[in-house]
Amino acid sequence: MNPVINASEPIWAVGSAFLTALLIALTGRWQNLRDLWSPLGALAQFGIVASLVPAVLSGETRTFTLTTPMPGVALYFKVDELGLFFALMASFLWFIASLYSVGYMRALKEHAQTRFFAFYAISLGSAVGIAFAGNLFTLFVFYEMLTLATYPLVVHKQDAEARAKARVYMTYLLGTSIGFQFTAILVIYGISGELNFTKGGFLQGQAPDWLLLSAFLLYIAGIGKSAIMPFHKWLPSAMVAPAPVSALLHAVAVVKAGVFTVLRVVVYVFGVDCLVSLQVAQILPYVAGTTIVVASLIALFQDDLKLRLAYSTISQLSYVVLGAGLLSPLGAMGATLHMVFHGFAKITLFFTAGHIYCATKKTKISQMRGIGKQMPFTMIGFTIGALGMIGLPPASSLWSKWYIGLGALETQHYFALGVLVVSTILNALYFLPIVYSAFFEGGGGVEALTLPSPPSPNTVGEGESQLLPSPDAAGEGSVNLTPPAPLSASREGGEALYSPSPFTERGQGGEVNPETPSPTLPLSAGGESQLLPSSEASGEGQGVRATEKPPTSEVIEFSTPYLTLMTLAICATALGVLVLFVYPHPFLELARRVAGL
Amino acid sequence: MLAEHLPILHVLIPLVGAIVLLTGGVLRPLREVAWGLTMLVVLASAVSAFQLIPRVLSEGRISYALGNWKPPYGIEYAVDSLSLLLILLITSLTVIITLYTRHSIQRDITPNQQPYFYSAYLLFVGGLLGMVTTADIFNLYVFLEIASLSGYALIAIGRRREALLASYNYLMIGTIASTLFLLGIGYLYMITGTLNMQDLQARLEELYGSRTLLVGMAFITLGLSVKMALFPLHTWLPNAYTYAPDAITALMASLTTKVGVYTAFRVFFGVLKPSFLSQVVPLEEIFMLLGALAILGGSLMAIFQNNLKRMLAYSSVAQIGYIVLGLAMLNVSGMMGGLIHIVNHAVVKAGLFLAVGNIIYRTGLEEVDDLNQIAQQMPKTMLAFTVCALALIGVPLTAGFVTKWYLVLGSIEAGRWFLVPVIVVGALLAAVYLWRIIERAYFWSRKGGALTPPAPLSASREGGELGSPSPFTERGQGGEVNPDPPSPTLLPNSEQESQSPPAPKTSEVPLSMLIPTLVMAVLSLALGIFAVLPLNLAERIAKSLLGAE
Repeated sequence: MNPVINASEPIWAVGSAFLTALLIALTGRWQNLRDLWSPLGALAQFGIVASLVPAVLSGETRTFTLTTPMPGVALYFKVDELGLFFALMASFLWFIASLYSVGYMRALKEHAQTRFFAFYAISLGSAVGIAFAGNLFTLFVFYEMLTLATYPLVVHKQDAEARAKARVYMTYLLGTSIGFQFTAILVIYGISGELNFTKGGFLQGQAPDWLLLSAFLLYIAGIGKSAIMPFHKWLPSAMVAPAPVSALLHAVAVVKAGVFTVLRVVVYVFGVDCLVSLQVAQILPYVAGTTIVVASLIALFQDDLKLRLAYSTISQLSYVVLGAGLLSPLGAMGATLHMVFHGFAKITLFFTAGHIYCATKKTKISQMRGIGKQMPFTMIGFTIGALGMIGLPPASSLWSKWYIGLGALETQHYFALGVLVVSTILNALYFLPIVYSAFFEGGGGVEALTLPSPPSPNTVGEGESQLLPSPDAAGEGSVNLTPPAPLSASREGGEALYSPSPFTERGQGGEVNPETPSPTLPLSAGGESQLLPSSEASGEGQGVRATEKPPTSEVIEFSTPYLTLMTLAICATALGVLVLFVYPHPFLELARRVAGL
Repeated sequence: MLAEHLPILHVLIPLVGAIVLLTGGVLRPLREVAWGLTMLVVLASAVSAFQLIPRVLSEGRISYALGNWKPPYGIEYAVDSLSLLLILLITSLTVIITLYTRHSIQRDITPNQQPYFYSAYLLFVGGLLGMVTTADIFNLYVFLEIASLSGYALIAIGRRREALLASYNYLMIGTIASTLFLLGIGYLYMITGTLNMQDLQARLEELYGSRTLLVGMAFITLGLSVKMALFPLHTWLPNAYTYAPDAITALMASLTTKVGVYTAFRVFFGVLKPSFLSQVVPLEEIFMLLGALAILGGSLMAIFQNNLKRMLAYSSVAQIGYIVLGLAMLNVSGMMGGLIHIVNHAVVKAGLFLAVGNIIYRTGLEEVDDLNQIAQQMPKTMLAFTVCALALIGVPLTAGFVTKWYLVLGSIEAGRWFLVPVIVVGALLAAVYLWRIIERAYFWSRKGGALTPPAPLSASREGGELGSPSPFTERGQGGEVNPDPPSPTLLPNSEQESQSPPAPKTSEVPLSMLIPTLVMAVLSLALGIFAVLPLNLAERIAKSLLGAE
């Protein structure tokens, strides 16, 4: 039997992030000092988590009981392979993201930065808390804490749109977790009187099948963070948050906390054997597969880069659920791997989106022709991330998809196999055009030759709209109600012709419209290398001139220290994707143990 | 010598204090020290109450024969674990709220009236303490009337004229309820010839088929339902809570209805036996249904209120539903949930009302719509409000979570599956009506600011409230074009200062109001994190009430 050791490391791994938040809040007055804490806290957290690796690999289990709020219900932590997996990824990526977010927030001169960084740290503490939670109650505590701590980050912009979307965010996440997960936990507790995770589950034969199955389905429905359809709508809404939030939280920490919980419940609460007898393999993979394909189809129609990434995330998350739902060891192994490998690739993509926005104010894919010439490193990073989504070498996701596929073969689940194939094609369809157009389209003469006419309506439309966000508009909100109409009309007419996506924006319907009026659009008309155009800077004349001038191919990603920092962060995560492809062995080993192989 | 009178001291001290204040009110010097004297009285009462803890925990029920007349012939006072729970709750909350009254009440009454106000205040507290301490059902009625009558007076003090009407309305309904209760007691006395509750319980068991008992219990149940504001009979409550002085609202919201619920527990499990509810009359089912209706109805009503205090008042109606549900489940887990919620809700709701009182004291704003960016002005108050709101919703590690945990467990154990969604939906509805305040307080721009045009904004605001992303974005106000949305003050931030318009300085309420508010917030968390202690007491009570040792 493996030794169980009572040790406080898990507490410190969680606590280091909370301590970081406290330090950030206390030193908010001194920006430089404040921004030092996040990377330091992340390093400390990663150090503590990494120090647990040898112990776990040698078969030790570390546990710690913090307090017992209710009789028999403790805040109990336990370090095992699966938790370590998630915590390693979250804390490592936090370090990179903390550097990136300092660059992003400063480059955009964002408001309320202290609040931002403090809640960012709390979110990471909660994520690691989820990773090391030793029972259902502790998991739920940190799950809810994560929801609440990310709310101020989602609503960060504090305008009507941000508030409305943050409300959607909260409604879905709190609604599912309080409505279903809480109930499921209590049903499980009521059935078995047990909350602690046990490998292989503790529910086998404890109650009639119908009760167990409904508890399981309730639980899965209660994990809104895994964004299984129809509980996925919060994820696109969360894209209203600043890019570092979308990158670390809504591509890694929050959503992975969701699928992590699914894995926990499948492997450590119900147990694979129990679920096989409940015939879950006839339900869960179909739900997940549908989510994968439908989300990919929706992603095809998104012109907003972050939204396309969001739908891609929804689709990729369901790979993990699919892998878990196959109820085969290989599938579980693939699911575990995909949780991490997708994380690295997706954070790279979101970093890229934020970086492009920071440097050029562009948010639409159709505006990003030729961007690869201005930001080569960034777009190479994007390419690697995109390959990670598709699952092609040299990206690490190849391995995870490989094992999920093996799992499907092993259980002869041909639906799952078909989903894998179809979604790979769809992934390629909505990522490769971006890469292609970034490097091989647009830029100076090419554009002028191929499209002589469209620029003129563009110029008119955008020139007009550019007047609006000028300083005087700031005083009178009423003026601002008009711009979206002419702008989007001219955009649809003009740009759909050379949009990298074969589908026009018209298909998006309600999805993107709320985004369109975002004040960044008019400013992004030119794609000039002009950095951080503030509202005052983009006067009327300048704006019109900008649209006439073709995009320069000057490299802009290193033009300021902040942008350089962000570029480096992108390179780091992209490198991570490559390294994990070449040397996935420690992770394969951990995942093998999770799956019990 | 004093120690042997311990079971009654905490009741007597406030009553004597009330008389001293009333008669001495004519003396000028006493006016100056009325608050100080009251504080001393409630502190003394609390001290004597806390000395009961070790005795009750070791001895169980402590009995005290008033005037040395042996029970069941004389009036008996008795402190068992259920009484102890309520006594501790009442005395400690009273101490905290009395501190709060010092500055808060100055807006409602003149210094000359203070002795009389505090006299009524102490009578009210003494009445409540008497109700939970006495073991004689007629004596309980007497204290009920003492507490009610002084309660009507306290509500009438409210600074708006509507307070008089609210008080009158409550007086009418309350008196009818008291009378019904008294009638019921008369019927019980008629068939048993005793008023001592233990004695009644022993004698009534063989009379469960009696029609007289049924009629008597019908009167008592109806009267108590009004007193504890059980859903269809809650109509006196919203107005009373809305127009009473802020400190009084906090006191009443946390204690009055709770003592009503206590009386229900006492009558159904101390005068009758659980079997009466489950076998003789289907009261169990009726209470479950009413409790569920209260949760849903009260919460829904709260969502549509714009007045802060009225919203919280409807929320109280809903929360009473939880307690009644716990009572009706007739199993240990459910009853523990109900009992613990008596404490949890009292603390959490007091905290919310105190925080709202702070806002009203400092800004005069009573409407939800006016609260934009209030967190910038009153960060500590809003922090307390937020914590208490989370506790009311039932986020893990807060007081409300413990309640819901045990109630859901109880309904699963009782096999009443339909209650589970009710409890859960209640929590979500609470999130709806409380979150909009948090959102406004932290994340809305100030109204009427130089850079925030009011007219178009309100249009988009309405759109936003419906939950639909409105097509009219507040670009004029947005954080991008215009780098100065008033920065939220959750945490200090420096990079804003150069650009933003001069933000109003934080102006918190006096410490005598702030400290009670923060204490309630801390307690709301403590009751969630260290719930083992109160839960052990609740388990003890539940087991003894259900007779399942």
